Amino acid sequence: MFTHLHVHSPYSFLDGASAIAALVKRAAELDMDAIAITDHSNLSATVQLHKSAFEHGLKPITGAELVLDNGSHLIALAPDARAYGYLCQLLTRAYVHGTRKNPIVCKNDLEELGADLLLLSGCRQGEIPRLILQSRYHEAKQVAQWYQQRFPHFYLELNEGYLPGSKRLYYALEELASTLGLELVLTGNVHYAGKEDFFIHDILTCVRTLTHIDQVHPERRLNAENYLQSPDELLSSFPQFDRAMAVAGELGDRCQPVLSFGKRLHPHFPARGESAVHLLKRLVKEGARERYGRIAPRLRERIAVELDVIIQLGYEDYFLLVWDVIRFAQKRGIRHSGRGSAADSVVAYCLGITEVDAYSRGLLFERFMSLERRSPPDIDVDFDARYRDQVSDYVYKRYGKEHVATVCTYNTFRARSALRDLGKALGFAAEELDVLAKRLPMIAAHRIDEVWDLPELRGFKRHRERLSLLLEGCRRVAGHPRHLGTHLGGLVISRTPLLELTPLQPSAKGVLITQFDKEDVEDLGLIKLDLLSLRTLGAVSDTLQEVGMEYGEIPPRDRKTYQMLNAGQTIGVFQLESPAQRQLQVRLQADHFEDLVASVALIRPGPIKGNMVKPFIARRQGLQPVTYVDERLRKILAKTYGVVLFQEQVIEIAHAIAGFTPGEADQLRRVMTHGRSAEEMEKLGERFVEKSVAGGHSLSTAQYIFSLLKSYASYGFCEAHAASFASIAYKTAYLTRYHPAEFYAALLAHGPMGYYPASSLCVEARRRGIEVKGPAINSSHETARVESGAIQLGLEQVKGMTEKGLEEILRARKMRRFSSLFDFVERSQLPKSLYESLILCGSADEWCGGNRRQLLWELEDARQGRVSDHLVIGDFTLSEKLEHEHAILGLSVSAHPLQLVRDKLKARGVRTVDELSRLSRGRKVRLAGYPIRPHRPPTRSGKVTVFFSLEDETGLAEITVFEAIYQKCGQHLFGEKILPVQVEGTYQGRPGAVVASDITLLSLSN
Amino acid sequence: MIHCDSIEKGVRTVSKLINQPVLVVTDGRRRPRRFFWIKNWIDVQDILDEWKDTGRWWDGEAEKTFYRLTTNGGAVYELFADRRMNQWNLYRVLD
Repeated sequence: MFTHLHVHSPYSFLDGASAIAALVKRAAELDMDAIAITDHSNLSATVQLHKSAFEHGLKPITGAELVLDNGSHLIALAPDARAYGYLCQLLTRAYVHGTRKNPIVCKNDLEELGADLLLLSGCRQGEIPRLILQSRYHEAKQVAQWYQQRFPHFYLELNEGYLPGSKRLYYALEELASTLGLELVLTGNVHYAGKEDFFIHDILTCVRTLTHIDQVHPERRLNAENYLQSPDELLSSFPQFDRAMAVAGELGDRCQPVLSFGKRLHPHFPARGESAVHLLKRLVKEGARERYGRIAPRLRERIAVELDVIIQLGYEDYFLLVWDVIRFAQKRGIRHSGRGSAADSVVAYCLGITEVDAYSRGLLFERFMSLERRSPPDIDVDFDARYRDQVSDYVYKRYGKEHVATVCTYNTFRARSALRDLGKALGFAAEELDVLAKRLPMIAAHRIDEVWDLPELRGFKRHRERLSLLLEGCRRVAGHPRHLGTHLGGLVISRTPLLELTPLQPSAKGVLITQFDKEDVEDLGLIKLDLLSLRTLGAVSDTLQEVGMEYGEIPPRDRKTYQMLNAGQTIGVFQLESPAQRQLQVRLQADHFEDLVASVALIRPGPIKGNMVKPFIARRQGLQPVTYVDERLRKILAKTYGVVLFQEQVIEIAHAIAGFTPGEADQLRRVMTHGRSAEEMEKLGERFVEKSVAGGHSLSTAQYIFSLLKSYASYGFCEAHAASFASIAYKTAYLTRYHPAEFYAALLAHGPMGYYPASSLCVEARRRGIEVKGPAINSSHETARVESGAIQLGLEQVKGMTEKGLEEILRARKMRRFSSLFDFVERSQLPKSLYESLILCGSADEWCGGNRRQLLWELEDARQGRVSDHLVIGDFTLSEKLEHEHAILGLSVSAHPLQLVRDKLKARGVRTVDELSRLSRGRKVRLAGYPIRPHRPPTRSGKVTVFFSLEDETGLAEITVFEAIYQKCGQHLFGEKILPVQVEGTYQGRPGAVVASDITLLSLSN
Repeated sequence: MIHCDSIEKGVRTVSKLINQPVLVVTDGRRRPRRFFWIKNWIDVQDILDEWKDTGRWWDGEAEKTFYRLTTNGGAVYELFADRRMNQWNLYRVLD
């Protein structure tokens, strides 16, 4: 039986055009019983190959195509798990010997680690074929002998049919094999599953080699023969090489799967004379006493159940490991907050990992862990972004560098990235792609066909055929990995040295990353620990320090904070600041913490598409009765007024109504929240109804309840996660209400973050009566700070400011204030462009009467060491100054650009955002400003509705644009540059809400 | 058009680009056995090399199979088959 031993998957990054599943499926269709994947210098495909091959009844074979120090290629296959470990080490060393982008295996390492590997001489870039094609047969023979003497499993590889020179190459290899007593092995050098996939590979090759499709490049394949061929097809290309074909089968038989799933490879926690189980129980008991004081019997029972599941599944060490990390952060005073489904656990709460009381909230532990699901618990913890690396350093030190690494991510092609990459290769001009990509909504590449209907792309119908090819190409590469990235916070900790499980390679930032992503490392039996950075926590810490307050001193239910939320004045508030959230706050009239938890979960695609927002608000306000189709739903849905809002509720309903086991119910939740197929949903529906009816419910009731769950399907929210976020949301709301200057300054200092850009935060701060000053050379700090009640932007905000430049300024200023521009230039060594930027954004306004043009003239003299004697010249106009400030700071500080034309706008009947609140509902209005964050969230009807904030000098209005107007005016909102627009529409009565009836571009000059 | 080519073992040869349709008689594996050129049927002595070229697929061009062959007269020719057009072409003559 023939086995393909040289196959590239998309993990060959731009050199493999078919998904692993497609390659395996094709091999299975050809009745093969094994398949190898041999990607360039990585083993990222290994886990997926194993899973896919097992699914199709095939044996997975793991290998890689190595690049040696002379630039030649060599195929290395791992026949067993031990050899796989050697291959991992070899590849890891390749990244040390070579570079991140060009890993190189040095021959010494190959000699040290390659004895157990099966080595194949490779494609035309292999050392031996290359020498033969250069007519250097004698040298080729010497090289073959070198390998033969050192490696017991070395084979001469035949591949690449139908290329010029192939015949000569085969005859020479045959002669070499016969002279030296080596075996020939036939491979397909496969780069795609079917012949019809060649075009994708060719385009990807152009992307990889930076060539246009019309250009020639030696790495572009001459023909479409690198597909996964059947044995018959291969024999017709290589009729006399039946023995080489048999050898491929024999090698395939010799190789075994190298991974075994289901192992537990996370480390034992060093419990010092105590078992991990005992230590965990003790810590939980102590934590419970601290959290709850008295432990009620039901609480004790709940803790016991959780501990039982954790211990049965063998995760006691993992919980201790996380507890230990949290303890380190607490000792260092690093602000942190557990998030995600871990907050469903009372144990996690007692250990201090999370701050949500899962017991009092009645949260469902099964959403986090269950005996049936058996998947590893996922604990995510946010840390103050500034100190997150200190926490990860601790983990490295605690468990050793050999056992800890950062998890990689597979950065896959999305619509925009595919479009840019493939478009360039297909010869589209950079400007055309820029327009196309910027106007393209953030959609997955497989949905790219939908772009034809977008009004933003009107006028982009040239090159229709080439564009169709581009879009088809984008669709086909959808989801293929483009390159390895670094997971934002995921660390993997292993009991055995990681190099036995995965090669490690440096990331762009220099940290060592695994070649497997988070799902794959879990399949390997490892556990990921998510140590995430949350800048908001840094902003909160700084604000509290500035105002001299402790986190715990923030009152839990402050009336004025809720009043502010009810007025929709939430810009800057964590998770509650988007236009949709602000409008929700006005309608909801929240007055306690549970309202905020619901708010975080309500503005999500699931509840919006499921039409749950309106009924929720109506019931919350007592305008609609809360009814339950079945009395058993009351207990589950009472806290959300009968509306299915949280993932935990889906699980509870399935359990209570259909009698699903907790594990089955969680499976239902997973199908629903991962947007699986309609078919899968249908099947689950049938089972739900069947079991419900069997449990005594009427058919119509069962169907109705399932329809409630189904409408929730596309994406729901975990209550525990919502509660974690709501807690931070409330704290930031409190700081916004009572310490807005300090909090907005902290947001600017830690930004960018949140929904709005710095310019909008400044508009909001001003609306609250806080003065915002631009950076000043003599008084600004590194970042934004509050000085005498006003926010002063930091020097860091200046475009082009470097760490060194900043140090230079602050060091010289510490000696004494700068007395003039001349003094400043004399005592600091900055690049000319940075001096210019500082002047143009107003940082030097205290000199020369703030005449920035004069200062620019004087800069030249100061740099030459001369005191300027230029005549006084006229300053820039205010409009010019605003333009400079915007270009350098990202916002205008001297004035808002709209202020310059306000009189003219007023004459045309254009109102300010501030004036809106004085109008009555239904009134026609005309507004002008900058469109901020236009977006198209999913809607229940499926029609496009665009929302954006319109920023003028007095605040932000929330504009809604329905389909017809979007079709007419969408191009003004999604352009390459943010241009001011004039909006005509109807005031909706809620603060700032306007439905647009027309949008036109606004010229600020007339 | 005359080209100077460097082919196997450093021997320099001269080639003439023809690229014209010719009649071809093939063997059981659809490889050329003889072809009609300048009013003569020329017998193929040996096929030296064989390769496929997808050409400008993005402009709708079909894959071609090329044969480099020797004839009884000792000359080297390159023929290609465009299977989609069911058409043979004499591509080059090499001396």
